[in-house]
Amino acid sequence: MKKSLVFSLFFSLILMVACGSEPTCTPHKGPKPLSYEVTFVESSGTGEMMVRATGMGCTIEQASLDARRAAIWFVLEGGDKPILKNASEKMKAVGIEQQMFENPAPYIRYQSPVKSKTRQNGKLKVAYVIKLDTGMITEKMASIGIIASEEDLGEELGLPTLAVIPKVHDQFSNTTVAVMQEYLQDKSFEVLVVDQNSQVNNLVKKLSTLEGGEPDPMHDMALSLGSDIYISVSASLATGSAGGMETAKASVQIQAYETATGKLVASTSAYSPERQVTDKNALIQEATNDAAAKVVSQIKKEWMKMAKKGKPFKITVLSNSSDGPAVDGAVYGALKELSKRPIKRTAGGKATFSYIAWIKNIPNAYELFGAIKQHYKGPGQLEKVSDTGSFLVFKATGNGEIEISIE
Amino acid sequence: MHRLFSLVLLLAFFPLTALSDAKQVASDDTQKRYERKVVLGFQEIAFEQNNLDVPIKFCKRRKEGTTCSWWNIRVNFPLDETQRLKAGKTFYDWTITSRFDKVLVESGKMTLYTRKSVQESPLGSFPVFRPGIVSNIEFRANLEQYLNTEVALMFKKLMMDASKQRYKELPEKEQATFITTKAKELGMSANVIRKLMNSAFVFAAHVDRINASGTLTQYYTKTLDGRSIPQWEIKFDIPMAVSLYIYRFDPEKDQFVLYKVWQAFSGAGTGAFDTRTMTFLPNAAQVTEAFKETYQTALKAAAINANYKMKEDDNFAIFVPITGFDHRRITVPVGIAEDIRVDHPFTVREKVDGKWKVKGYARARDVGKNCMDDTVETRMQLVKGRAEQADLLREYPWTGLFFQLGLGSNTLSLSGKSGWKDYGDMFAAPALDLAAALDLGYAANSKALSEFYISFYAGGSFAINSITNYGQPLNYFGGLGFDKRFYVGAGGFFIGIGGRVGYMGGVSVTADDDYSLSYGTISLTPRMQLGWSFTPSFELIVNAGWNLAFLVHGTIEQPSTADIDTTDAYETFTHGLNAGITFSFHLPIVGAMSKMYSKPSKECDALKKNNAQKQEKGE
Repeated sequence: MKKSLVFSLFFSLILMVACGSEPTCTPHKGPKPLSYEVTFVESSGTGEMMVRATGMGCTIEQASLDARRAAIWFVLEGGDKPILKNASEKMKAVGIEQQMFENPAPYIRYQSPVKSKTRQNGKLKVAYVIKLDTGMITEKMASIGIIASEEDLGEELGLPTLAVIPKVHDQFSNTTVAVMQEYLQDKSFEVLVVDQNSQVNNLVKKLSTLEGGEPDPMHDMALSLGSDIYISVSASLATGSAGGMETAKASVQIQAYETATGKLVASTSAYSPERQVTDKNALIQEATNDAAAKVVSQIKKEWMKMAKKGKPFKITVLSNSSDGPAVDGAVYGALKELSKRPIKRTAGGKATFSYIAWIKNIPNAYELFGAIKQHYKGPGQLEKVSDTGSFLVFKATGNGEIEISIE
Repeated sequence: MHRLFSLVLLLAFFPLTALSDAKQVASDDTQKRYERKVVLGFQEIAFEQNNLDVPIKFCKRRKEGTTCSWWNIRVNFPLDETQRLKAGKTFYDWTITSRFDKVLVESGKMTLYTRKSVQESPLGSFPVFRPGIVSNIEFRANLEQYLNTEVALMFKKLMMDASKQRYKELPEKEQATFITTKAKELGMSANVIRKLMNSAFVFAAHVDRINASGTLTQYYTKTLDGRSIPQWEIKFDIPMAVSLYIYRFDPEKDQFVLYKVWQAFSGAGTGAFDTRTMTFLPNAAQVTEAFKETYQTALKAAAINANYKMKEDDNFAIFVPITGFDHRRITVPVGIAEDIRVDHPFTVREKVDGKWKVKGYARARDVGKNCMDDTVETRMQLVKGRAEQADLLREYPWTGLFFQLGLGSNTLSLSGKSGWKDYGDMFAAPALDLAAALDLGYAANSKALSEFYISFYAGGSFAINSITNYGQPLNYFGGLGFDKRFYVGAGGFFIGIGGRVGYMGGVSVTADDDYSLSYGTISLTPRMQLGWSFTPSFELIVNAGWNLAFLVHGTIEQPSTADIDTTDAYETFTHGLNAGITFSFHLPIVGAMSKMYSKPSKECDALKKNNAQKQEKGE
């Protein structure tokens, strides 16, 4: 009797210790992710984004699904620039969002093995690096009209014409220019190429001289090319050492300016990780990719504002001293009729006048010239000299010739 | 059209940022994976002595007992070059295993064998390090001087040359990032370079002063025709301590810096399996042979202890996350390239609320041959606790050897014939049972022998009931046991089926010491075990078996008259209970049991050499 009691107690003890007690975990049942822990890693391509997403759940499978859902959520609603920007879009997207959460696989290009696994308060937290097809997600949202408000903006203005201009023509800056151009072209921008042989045209040179002030060769170049926005780039490379091996780290600085006004619209610096490479241009590429993604995002913001408030144009009128005052008044008046915003006179002499005007619903200088002609009530006829991008030059004289010679 | 236009616009402007820190795509410590280290090793190990002066004890074993005296001969054993080279090979085979990339310094060149490739660097006329016969202090000074002159620079160059290949062989690399997909350039980050360049070590061993001793025993055995003939048995015990100096390469200073010094021990009784028995007094050559054999056994035992200590260090231990888990079956991407042996235990870990928690234990069952193919995995069995995918496994330092302390009952009852009373006890005979048990699966690194334990046991018991005229019999026993274990569930439970073969004898003495009765049997004990493995280092086992014994002799000894042979007075076949509870403690020092260990797998080394030869031939 005693023996059997001892044995019973012994085995009960063993069983209790062996089996232990499982912590309870209640599975998450909602349509949205349980975890919203997502951080950017990089933009690995023009339509792809890599994030580090953490999922939560009672099992690894649940946590993995939750991480994918969190990554999708991040693209749609999280981060600095979500696809769904306002409450109305979010409301409209509830159904499709739920579908995406339930089956995130079509939008995921790569999911790494587990990068981190911990248990907190009985729940598993598992992190993955996930590459998302942001292009496809955007397309999905656009195809069902959730982000329809963007259409009008696109219709009104189209995409800006961009010029990428290196601050100095060295090897690394040239690589940066090439990568930027490739990046922008991938995103369907019209990109104006500036090479070492590109020259500022004489008209711009002359007008620039007439306007006075510090000469800005890049601005002049942008005006010559006829871009809406020009991007100035510079790149440098710092070398270092790791484990006795030579390493390098690239840094790239990019600024974007409105060509018409010279106003800074975007500025960023980006760095590559410190690496050991045989071709250092690889680092420039990596850093530029980072910078390009950032700066394009800022340009977009400005461009959207322009669509709402008016696109800036630089208008230069060539006349002579006798007609000048009347022409100036008439052009100014015409511009006032086209824009509610104040017209900025950047240069005004007796025979040549320059203005900056923000005009809605007119996409380019060619159309602007037509509109000015319609509203012009001054002496003589208007004769177009140049209409590149946001820069319009025309002649206006009642009698006689203009006083500036144009070759 | 509107939608398309809008889409183009949106795609063009989609907000993105990019990678500025490669760490973001790396795993944290919860998913740590062993990264191969480079180890520079030498052919030879250093010795404190160039010869050993070994005192020999001479013993005579007689019926009345054994008497010993120190022999007036002290044997001097010179350690010849062959012996020293063999010692170096044995020690480094066990310490610089296939989990390391190896650097070999040969005349004129330094060669690095990575997991899949071979890289060479010229060494000029710099000599190969010969550690020689030196004290510990001198050895260290000589070694540092050697390493921190030209070798360091050559070593660094070799490491640099090999870094890209080693990066390719890392278990975790940057994947799917811009640099790897668009730039088409390997572009190791500085963090990775630092990791690779800081993962180089030197292992150099020094055999410390040895106090060996020998025993020459003379005894008599009976031949089949009843004659007594003398036998001589020579055996040595060479308890050995080896200092293993580990230096780490500092690539910023171009220097090797002392990382750790481990003392590895062989343990005592190293010559237990190297005993030589002869029918004549052994000559000098035979004694030397016995000594050399034991010397290598002791060195191997110390090497196994060093291997055990290495696994205690997080730098050298294998860490790997579980990639597959299905009903107690675990798969992990490690294998013989990481020197994983059959039955190798691992702890299952998980970080819970910021603290590491051991969830269970797993053992390797089918070790993957992953020398050249990273995708080959090892299958393991969860033997205790819980596990799931992505839990972290950490190698458990283990030798597979246990000391077992058993308490229980070991009985035999002889049935007397024609008036002789029964002798012995069937049930109540408290026993103390001591054993050394070794997992042959681990020791032999054999899947066929997985969880197959061999044990060497000895013990004694005495009958509580005084049921003979000769008082309470005292039994003694010893022999060899075999048990095959089967783990059941994940509670650490196992069932063992096996048995013991040995000698079981007994003696009892009358109250007035006038007579004593003794007997001897050859016994076979089939038995079952029900065990619980608390950890790979401690087990509790309940044994139950039945002794099946065959009487080989029975004797009544009287002080003043000739002994009486009572062998025929009892039934030849006898039996009794063998049951008890055993506490099993893991032993990191293996002593003479080192004889039973097979070398770490050389399969990967062979493949590498083969590949290198092919490269040389330009195939």
